[in-house]
Amino acid sequence: MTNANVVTANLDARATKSRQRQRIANRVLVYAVLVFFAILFLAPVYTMFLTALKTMPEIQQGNLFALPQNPSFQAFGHVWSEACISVRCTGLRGNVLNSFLMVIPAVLISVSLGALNGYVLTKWRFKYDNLIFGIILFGSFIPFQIVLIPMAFTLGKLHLAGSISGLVLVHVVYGLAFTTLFFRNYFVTVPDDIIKAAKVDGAGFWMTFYRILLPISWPIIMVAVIWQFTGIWNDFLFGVAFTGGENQPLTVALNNLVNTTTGTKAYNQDMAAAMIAAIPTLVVYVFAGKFFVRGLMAGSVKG
Amino acid sequence: MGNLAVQDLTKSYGSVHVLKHINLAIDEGDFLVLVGPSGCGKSTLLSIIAGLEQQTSGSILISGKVVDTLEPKERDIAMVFQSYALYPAMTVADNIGFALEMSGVPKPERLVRIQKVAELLQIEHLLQRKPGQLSGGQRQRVAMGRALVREPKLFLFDEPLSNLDAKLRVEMRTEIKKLHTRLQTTIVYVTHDQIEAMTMATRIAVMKDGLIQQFGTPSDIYDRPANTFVATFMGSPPMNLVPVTVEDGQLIMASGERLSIPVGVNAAAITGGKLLLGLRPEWIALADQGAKDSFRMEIEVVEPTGPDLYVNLNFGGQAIIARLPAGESVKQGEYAQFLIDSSKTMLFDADTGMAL
Amino acid sequence: MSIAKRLRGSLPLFVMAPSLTLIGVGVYGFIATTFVLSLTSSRMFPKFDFVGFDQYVRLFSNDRWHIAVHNMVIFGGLYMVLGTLLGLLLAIFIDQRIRAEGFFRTVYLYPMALSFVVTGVIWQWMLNPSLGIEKLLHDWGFVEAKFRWLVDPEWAIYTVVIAGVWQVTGFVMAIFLAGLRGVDTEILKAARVDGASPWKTYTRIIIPALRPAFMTVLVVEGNLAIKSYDLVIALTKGGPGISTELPSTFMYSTTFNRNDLALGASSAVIMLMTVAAIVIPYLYMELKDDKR
Repeated sequence: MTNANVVTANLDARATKSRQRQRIANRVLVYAVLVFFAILFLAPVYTMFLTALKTMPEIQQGNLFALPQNPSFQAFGHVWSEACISVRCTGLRGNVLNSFLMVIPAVLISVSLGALNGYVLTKWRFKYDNLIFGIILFGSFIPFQIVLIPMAFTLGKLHLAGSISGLVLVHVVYGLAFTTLFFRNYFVTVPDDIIKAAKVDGAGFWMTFYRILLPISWPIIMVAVIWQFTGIWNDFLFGVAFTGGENQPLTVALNNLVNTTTGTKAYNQDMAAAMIAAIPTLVVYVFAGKFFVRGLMAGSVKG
Repeated sequence: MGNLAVQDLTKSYGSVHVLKHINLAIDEGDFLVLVGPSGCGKSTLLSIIAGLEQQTSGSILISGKVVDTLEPKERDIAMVFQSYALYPAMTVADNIGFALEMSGVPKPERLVRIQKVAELLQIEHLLQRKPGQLSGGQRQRVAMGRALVREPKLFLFDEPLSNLDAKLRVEMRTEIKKLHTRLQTTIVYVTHDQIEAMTMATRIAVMKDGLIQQFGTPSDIYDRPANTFVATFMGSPPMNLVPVTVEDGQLIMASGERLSIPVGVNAAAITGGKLLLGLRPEWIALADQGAKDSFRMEIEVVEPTGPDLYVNLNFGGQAIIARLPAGESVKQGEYAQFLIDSSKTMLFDADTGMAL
Repeated sequence: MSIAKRLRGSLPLFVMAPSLTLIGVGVYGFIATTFVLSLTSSRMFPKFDFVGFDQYVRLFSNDRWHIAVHNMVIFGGLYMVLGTLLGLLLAIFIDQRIRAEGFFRTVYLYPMALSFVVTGVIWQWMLNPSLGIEKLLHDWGFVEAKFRWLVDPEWAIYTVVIAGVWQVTGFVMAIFLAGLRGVDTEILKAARVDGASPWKTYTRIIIPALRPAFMTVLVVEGNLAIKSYDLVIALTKGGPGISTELPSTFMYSTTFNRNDLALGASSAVIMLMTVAAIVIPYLYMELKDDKR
């Protein structure tokens, strides 16, 4: 090796080393940012949980992130069956039941209708189908304030005012746009040849839907169900506008409970109530969230 | 099994005429290939025969019976799609048996028939798999099985081989032809590949712009194309078309070369005007100096394909291609004497493109 | 055509009929009704005496509405800008072939599963001046630290921004991540061969390629911002005073608590028109692209 070669080899080695250092520094930065935000995102739910397990004196002494010395579920028990919501002091249990009675039929109906709409719009195309889709889709963007007043009077006329069935109807109407959108965008990716083949094989409208399309629709059914479940469970506006007293869904009761303060604010009870309201959707999200993201990425979000 | 007739069929989307007065008739056991460039209307014609689309006017007859108002399932047909269109959630066996199930065939009989078809296509070991677990060639077989199991009067194939790689395509081509020979089924087969058309068909309909350009046997189409479109579309490399005029009972090129009028063309009937001389590449051969209808041409490029040599020649300023057997001594850049076989050549009207 | 065949032909429309009826009445019929009501002098009950655009004149001379619109601009603007930037940042960082991608994605996305009411209640606790973040800062040694935005009329609206951004960022990240994963890797290879630095690759190639994702994100965020109701109610109840009033809370309280139906209706119409101005061009473009 000549001298010149040795020098360039050394320079190369040094360059490689500094590039390596640069790369490690980059990795550290990436993870530091990600971890920082992860803490930021987890902190609120972490403190919700901790606070719910504390007693009031402990809350007043410690701080947001201090661990509870004597963890107790007493606050949960209280908000479950005793806490006062406005004037009734029977806790949240009734409202939890209300929310389930509302969410289950509303999800089933809106998802079924959405699936049929998506099927018709993509596989039985007719004149103006795109226009009709646009008309349906617009419904997913309206601020619901625009329908509150007529809906309130209509529910009254239908003798559904203040009832859970009324709330189911409302959620079906305003969920249809989303479920139709999900299924339409999914079914568009299913080749039309399959539908033609089924036609040649002698399968009719319903048979094709039931035997051919439905069995391959699980990803989008998951998306639609999760979306509708969280959306309807978490709804507050319709609940507060169209129900009262015993029939209130959980979110409305939670808000009332938090605002029904006598004396000092019982933050442990507030947090316990918030957790009860959060758990069903969190459970759905943790166990089925990956299907949701996968399904969303598969086709319901363009771009 | 049945025959098929298409009578004065048209299809329009608004002012766009996709099919214009199509007439076709094939016998029981025929293998009809509809061939043409994309957009020629061949797939639309197949869809109308299947009943998946409605014609604007005209009639379809299967086994002598008008089927215009029948649903696809009532026409006694089966169809193989380009994308195979297998039902993703069903096993291979269920895919094959679906049509039988829809027409109410009881399960035991269904299983027997599925088994029989699977044996025929050698896919018995795949019956319990889902389409997603199959290779392209296997899917192709399942798609055919789905059609075969119904034992319909008419099989429709929509470019079934175009998604396979080159090697598999040739294998499946042979296999379909074997099946046809063995089962003597009536088939309508759509393709844009002229080799598929030539190798498999008993009847070919060459289509372009919604019109049938020529309808005949493969040898009709190849040897006696009805017009310049058919002449250049069928055959690879395509037929050479050399501009000529007529003078004193002979053809004359712009560069002055004189050729014989093709045998079979009535010289008296030609009334001047511009003509095109049609020369298949294999109708050109090396010749001795001074032979009749032989010409000295420059050899511009030689492309050996293995069995053949494709030789690009300069024939009086016209670029033409000859196909010579491998081993002929032709060298790029040299000149040689070439014979043009006037017992085979054809003449076309340069304006209308029609054969004379 | 035979009757049976014609029936079969109209089956698809028949199947959609219930949905179309529900949407026709529940969306378009009700929009029309609300608009008609906004032209009347209805108070507690609908009354169809047309007074022209009087309610709109009243609305735009209403101080409360001015505050609501002003807050909407602050909240909507910050919510969209911060949500988009943070979401994009997290998406890009997650897209660096990191370990535990699934964990980070889950953590960022979970707030979306929570009800706005839950979010509001949690942040109300975290931001409360006596026991919340301020106390935490004191315990950590920042004895002088003050963090009383929640009870400060000047600053309360920013607490709504914080809670809102916390909730929406993960969703934005998911959309951008899907967009990033959709960028053609050959283009990235080509950029590397051309000698583009990572920074240049992002600013010149990848981010421009995310245009459709940006569109989706901004439309979704804009839409969520204008609809925001639950979050404010749970976090600040529109207060202190009326300092965090938004159009949505204005509409609700005007209509149902103050029995000023026509004025509430007119505010709802203005909200709808704002949304429509964002959404209709977007829908038009999306559906035009979709035509096959």
